[in-house]
This record gives sequence, structure tokens and C-alpha cells, in this order.
Amino acid sequence: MMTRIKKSTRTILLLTIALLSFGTYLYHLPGAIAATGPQIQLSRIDFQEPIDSLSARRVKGAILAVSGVQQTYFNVPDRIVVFSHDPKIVSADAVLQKIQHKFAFQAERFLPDLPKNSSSCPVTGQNSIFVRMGAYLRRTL
Amino acid sequence: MKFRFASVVLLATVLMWTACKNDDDDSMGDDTLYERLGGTEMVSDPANPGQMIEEGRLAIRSVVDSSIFVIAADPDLLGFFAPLLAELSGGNTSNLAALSKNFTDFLSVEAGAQNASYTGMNMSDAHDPSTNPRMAMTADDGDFDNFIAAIVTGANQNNVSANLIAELGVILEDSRSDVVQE
Repeated sequence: MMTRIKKSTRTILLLTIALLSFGTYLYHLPGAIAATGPQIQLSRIDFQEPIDSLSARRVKGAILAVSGVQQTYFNVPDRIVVFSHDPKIVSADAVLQKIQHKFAFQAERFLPDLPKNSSSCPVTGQNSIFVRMGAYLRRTL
Repeated sequence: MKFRFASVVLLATVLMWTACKNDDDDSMGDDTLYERLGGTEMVSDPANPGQMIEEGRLAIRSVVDSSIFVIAADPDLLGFFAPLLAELSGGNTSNLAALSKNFTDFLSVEAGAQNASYTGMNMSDAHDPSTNPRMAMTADDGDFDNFIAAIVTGANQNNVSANLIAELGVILEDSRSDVVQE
């Protein structure tokens, strides 16, 4: 009887350690979303045609008016606008669509290549099941 | 009698203080840059409702955060920050927060903050691709000039006065020999 209780205790202890280790691992995955505070994403839109400073100001104002967008910076000579936004409220693609709908400029989102150190390993890749699971758990816990 | 003497001393102290105090002059006295940016006075943190932050740190963090926008929109600097931007495009904001905190810590300490500490890599290792895999390539003088210009733009966006920006520039210039490795 005592042996069975000891075995059960040991099993529970091992399971607890395994769960805690897995939780700690998920927490430190590079693709996981930060646990606290608003999730701010930085996104960039490149314009394919010249933009004067007045048009840039209008575009900037239109981006700032989108709910969830917090801050913008427009590099007029290089036709690049960068903005921070809460992806839970508005996605970068949605912001781009609103701008394209409102203005006739040709523009597209700038998506840099993923760095080698995060894409080479399938376990820590941005779209791996572990990263997505970690992000999901951190959103819900 | 004792009360009258104390009153005179108090009045003299107040007069001396008000005579020397000049809020409009950023370069007066021996105050550190951190103190002239607001110092240790606690103010509410606009980025974290309900929390307080030293005014000097808030000023420096605001400049850092604005500068990150400028850097992200600068094709000449993009190469150095490509890993970070790629992560951000994928929704991973943790390293952006780390960059903001590390750079704010570094500048705060260099500006004379007493309650701040910088625990990141030294400037030489941080900008050497062989010791910091997040540094995509070595920087030359032109890259560093572009970086300084981005910080100045960020400071201007936050209405930092010209002479304080110049002091910030001196701090950054001190690290040029460590950062430029080409």
C-alpha cells in the first residue's frame, strides 16, 4: 500500500516538473507573444510612386485615424511609412487596405525575410506548432 | 529670537534658490543631462497606465522609441535591423521591447541617471557580428552618421532642445570607435 502511494506521489511530482518545464520552454520561445501589456506591432508600408509632403501628411493622418494605430513616422524622400499598432485591434493589412481605399497610391506592405536564426530550426520557426501553441496559451492564460 | 533667526535663514535660502533657478536655461549649473531632461521626478507613464516613471527616463525612452520608427523607415539602416523587423512582422515584439529597454538603460546611465543600470553587452561586442549574431554586418562611419541622424530626428519629434540634443550627440559620439568596425 505504502509503495503504491510513493509511486503515485513520484508520478505526480514528475508530471508537475514536466509540465512546469514545458511551460517555461513555451514562455521563452522566440515567436511567443509577450505576456503582459498591449501587444504593439511595428509595420511598414512602401509607396511605389512619388509622394509630396502634403500627401504624406494626409496619409499619415488617415493611418493615425485607424483605431488601434498609435504612432506613425513618414520618411517622405524614401516613400516609406512606419506605424505602430495593436494587432488585436487592427492588422497591418487592414491599415494598408484602408489607405489604398482612401488614396489612389500604389503601395504595399514591406515584409523583410525572416532571419536565419529563427527560421532555420523547425521547432523554433515562427510558424511552428510550438510557437503557435505558446502564443495561444499566453493569450488565453 | 530663535524663531526670528530661523525665519531669516529660511528667507535667505529661498531667495538664493529662486535667484539661481532658471528653468529656461538647459546648460546652467552642474546638473547632469539626465537631470535636465527631468531627472528623478516621478511622473505617470503614458505607455503603462497606472505606473510611474522617472521624468528623465521617460524623456530618453521617448527619444529611443521615436528613433526606432525613424530607423525602421530608413533603407540605409534597414540591413542592421532586418532580424528585428522580420520578427515584428511576424508578431514577435519581445526583442523590440528589449532593444528599447537596453538602449534607454544605456543612454540613461551615460546621461547620469543614478537609478539606472545597463546590463547589456559592451558596445564593441554588441556591434560585432562575430559576438552578436543579431548584428547582421559591421557598420562604417556613414552608417553611424545615419544612426546619429535618426536619433536627432527622434529627439526633435519629442521637442528636446538643441543643446540637449547636442549633449546626447556627444554621448553617442563617444561610442563611435566601438560601433564602427569597418
